[in-house]
Amino acid sequence: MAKRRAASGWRTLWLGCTGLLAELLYPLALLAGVFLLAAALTLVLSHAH
Amino acid sequence: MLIKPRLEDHKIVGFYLGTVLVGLGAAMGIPLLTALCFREWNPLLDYSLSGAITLSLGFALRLSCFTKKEIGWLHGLTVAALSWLVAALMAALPLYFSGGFGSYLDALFEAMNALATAGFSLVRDLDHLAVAHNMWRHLLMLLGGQGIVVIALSMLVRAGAGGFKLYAGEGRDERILPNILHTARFICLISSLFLVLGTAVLALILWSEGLPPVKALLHGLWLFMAGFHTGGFTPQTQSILYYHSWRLELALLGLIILGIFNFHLHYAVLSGDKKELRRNIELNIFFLSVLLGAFLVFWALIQRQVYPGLLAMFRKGSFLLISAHTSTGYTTLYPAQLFREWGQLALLALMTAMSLGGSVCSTAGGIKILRLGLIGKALRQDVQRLLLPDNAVLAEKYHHIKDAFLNDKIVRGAALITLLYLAVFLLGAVAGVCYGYPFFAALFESISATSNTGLSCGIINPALPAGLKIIYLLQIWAGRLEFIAIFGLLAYGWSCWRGK
Repeated sequence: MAKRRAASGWRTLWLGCTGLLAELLYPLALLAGVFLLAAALTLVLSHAH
Repeated sequence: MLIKPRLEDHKIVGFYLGTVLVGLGAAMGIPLLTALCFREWNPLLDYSLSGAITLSLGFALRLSCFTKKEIGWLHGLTVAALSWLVAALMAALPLYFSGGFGSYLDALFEAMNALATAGFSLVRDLDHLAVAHNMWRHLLMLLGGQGIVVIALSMLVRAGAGGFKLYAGEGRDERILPNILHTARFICLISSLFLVLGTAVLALILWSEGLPPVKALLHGLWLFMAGFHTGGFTPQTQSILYYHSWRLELALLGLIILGIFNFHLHYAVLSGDKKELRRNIELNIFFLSVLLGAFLVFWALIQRQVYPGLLAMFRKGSFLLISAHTSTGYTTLYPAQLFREWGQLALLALMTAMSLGGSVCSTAGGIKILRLGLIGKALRQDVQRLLLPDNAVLAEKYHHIKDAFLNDKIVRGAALITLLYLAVFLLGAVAGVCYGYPFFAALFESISATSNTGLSCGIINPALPAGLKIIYLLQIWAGRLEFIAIFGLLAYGWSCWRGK
């Protein structure tokens, strides 16, 4: 019983930590991509303009 | 027939209002302790006196209005609307006593901005404000971002069926866990976790940038409180420009993006469902909207050659766009610069971003991107209906934590709130024009106030006419509560007057 409870605790901790990492990294990576795309688009179009 | 509220109904409202005031009075203990630690004797007196007044009023209401009657929807909405007003009135007391504000109205404006996480400030000399007062201003943002009623619920109210009615009155209508008290406590737990992590990261960055350790810790804590709750207060007049640190700007960007996450989304991801980040309709629309906004801002800045280098332009443009879109209001430039140098196209992109805001059930303001997504899906469904035979059955799905089907009730709710926001944006702008300000600037300020952003192009300052201060204050209050609680309060007042 105690072993099962400890395993469940570790699993919750693991899920929490990896979830937190995903929450931090995913939006920042996507945001960087979005800004790079917007910047590239602006530069190309303004050059053509 | 309109039923007049009985004494028991007033007692319910009074009891919960008293509960919120007790919570607020207890919260004044934090700046009081800060004043004690930093040996600021005048602020110590300010918070002792204000705390005593708020706690006395709160306990008096709780004792005199104790009732066993169950809370109803109208009570919930009335309590939520009144709580924010009365809490701001009480929270303004120590700020007024500080002598840092020109009048009680200015202190009230500051307190409402803090609670509603708007971020306009009317302090006369912010750079020399006492540590305790800065702690209070930023703490109010934390309390307001979490929802003062949610906090009072999780700390001071026993579990009951009526809890959800109070919770929904604050503009949050999604239960994360079946029990509303557990939901409120989960929100507080998530925020506490981020408080520790976020403060540590920000303090380390500020320390490495050369701030003394204690100042770095305090500024890190305050910037977290205001940043994660998309408030936008800073302890310096120059906002984030004061620090001149790209590392701080990057950390704050990450923090405020986390702040606009729906608490439901936090729960899903932290429980192991990481795919939700990719599938969530709100996040997808948010990043699409940022892409369009960034393109417009960069285009405007390139055309006007505002900055000498491309890197400086992208850095300033990206930071301000995210700050506006998340309704935070942090800035790395002066208000006058924004209006004079950035041009109307960039301002238009910022105004659109401010209007859209963040996620529902988060600390962000604005119309909320989920509503925009739902209206867009409904529009697509209507166009599809035109192209298909009359007897065709159409079902539109959207993914927000779980798959759900679009129905008329959901779309009607989203469209109604969106329309109300648009109407208030316009009314606020008209009020600004009536006071002699140019339409574009007045519209910018009105959108910024209603969406609780706090970016300013210079209109809101201590010399603003009192009438316009009151109008903006009401806009901030109504925008934070997403109007429905205000209608609840008006309906309650109307039934008191005309009911039988």
